[in-house]
Amino acid sequence: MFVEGIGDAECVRRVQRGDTDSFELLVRRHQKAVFNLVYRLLGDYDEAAEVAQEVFLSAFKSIQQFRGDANFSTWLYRIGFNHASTRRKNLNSTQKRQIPLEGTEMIADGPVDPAKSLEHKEIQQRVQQALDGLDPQDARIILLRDLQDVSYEEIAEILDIPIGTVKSRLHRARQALKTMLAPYFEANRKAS
Amino acid sequence: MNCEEVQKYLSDFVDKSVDVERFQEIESHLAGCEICSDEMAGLAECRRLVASLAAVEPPINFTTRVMAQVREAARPPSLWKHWFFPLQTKIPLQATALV
Repeated sequence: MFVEGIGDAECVRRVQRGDTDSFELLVRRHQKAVFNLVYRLLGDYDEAAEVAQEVFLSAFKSIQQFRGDANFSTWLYRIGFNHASTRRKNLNSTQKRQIPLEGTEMIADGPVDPAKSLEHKEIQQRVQQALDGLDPQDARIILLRDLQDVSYEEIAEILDIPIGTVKSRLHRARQALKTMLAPYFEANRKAS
Repeated sequence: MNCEEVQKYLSDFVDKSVDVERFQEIESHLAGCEICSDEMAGLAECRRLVASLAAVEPPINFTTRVMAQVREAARPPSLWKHWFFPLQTKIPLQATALV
């Protein structure tokens, strides 16, 4: 039976006892976060779809190893990074398919200015390109903190590093991203 | 705090994850230092840009595809495989035993 109100820990316990259907709730609950993390790491929609499926399948196959001492999402993200890392090495950067521009519509309360909407989409692509150019370790930490709003403590668990290292790596990663986006900042400054 | 010390904590400052006393020291330094202030603004803007990346929807049949693979993985091996696969490994071993 499919019950929305069950927490992750209880879902996992049910799956561990052989209730495969309970895994569907975990998939529905976490698919968007996992997919977005993987997509922003790989920069390719179709690859992200495949890898995200692999992440959940891996999680299911090794579900008995999940002890519940960390959040299920922490464990999923760790699996996600492992799979994305492997796939990224094999990915040909010239064949990347980004999401269609229609997939990044601004959410607006009133009528959307087409010029602003286009500008917003261009910025999004520029940021994605900058993320693609970062060292994978830097990209991971920025995506966890700035995109997924994961706490320092959880990042430390996911990446298996001390909190102090999380902070210093995050700072370094943001500086690297700032350098990658320097032409955009410069163009903005000249325009204003 | 001097510039070198302040810049070490700028990311934490942007995240508002420094203690109150340090936050005030940094704020006070930034009010009078254009270099550190620009650096902080740049880091804050990067954070804002990443945070504003649009959430992408997974493919429409994502859950269905995952669960199909999950259910396949959960199936016990078929009787055919159980009986015939072990038999295929048994024959070579028995053959070597005869030799």
